[in-house]
Amino acid sequence: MDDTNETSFVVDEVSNVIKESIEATIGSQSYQQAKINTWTSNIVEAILNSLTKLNKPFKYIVSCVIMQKNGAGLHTASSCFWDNTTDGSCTVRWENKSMYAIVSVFGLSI
Amino acid sequence: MNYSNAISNLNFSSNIHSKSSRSFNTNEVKQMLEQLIQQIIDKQNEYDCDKCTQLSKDLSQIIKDAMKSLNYEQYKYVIQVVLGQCQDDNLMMTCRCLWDIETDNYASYVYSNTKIFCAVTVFGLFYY
Repeated sequence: MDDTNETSFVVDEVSNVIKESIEATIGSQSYQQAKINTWTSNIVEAILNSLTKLNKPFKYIVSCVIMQKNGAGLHTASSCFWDNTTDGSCTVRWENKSMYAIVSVFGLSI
Repeated sequence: MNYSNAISNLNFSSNIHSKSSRSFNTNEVKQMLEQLIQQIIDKQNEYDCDKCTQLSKDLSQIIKDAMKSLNYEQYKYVIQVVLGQCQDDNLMMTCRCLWDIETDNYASYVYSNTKIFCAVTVFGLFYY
């Protein structure tokens, strides 16, 4: 599948983009209610900018959930109706001592 | 659990347009989400970790099937379900998209009771 990476979604590449964006935005931070709005926006916009620079014929959806670590349970699920040969998704779960971040990227070919 | 009754109980007001190529209608999808989610989650009285794991997956499949029955031509869908326990915690969810604003759109609905909250987002993307 590697030689068709011009028109199919490459999970590893996107996964690296996501991890870099999360680390750059909240890597060293502790949970602060006043800042999570800015953090989620920054993470998502940084990822979208990096994905755009890859110059692939894709539409992207990027979503980010940040949650404080207090013992509550959280479940996320997604289902997609698309073309399995070209479209794909990548979800990264990241945590530090005070919070969880779950970032999902969906790429749909044009 | 068998949720096929939930889908057949939905009332759609725009079935007469099912053959024409119409664009993603946020209100119609949001109405559908409200009906479905209230029917399904109202039955959950407690937050149960194992049940909610399965429930979130089931819910995303059910909503995907309901979207298919809305008969939007040439649309791809992405459905995201976030289900959690209601404690004193805070949660922030943000989304950005790179798409064609003339054809693509999304609909979202958040439901919560004293035990469980559920945020569902449906994205519809036109396939040229």
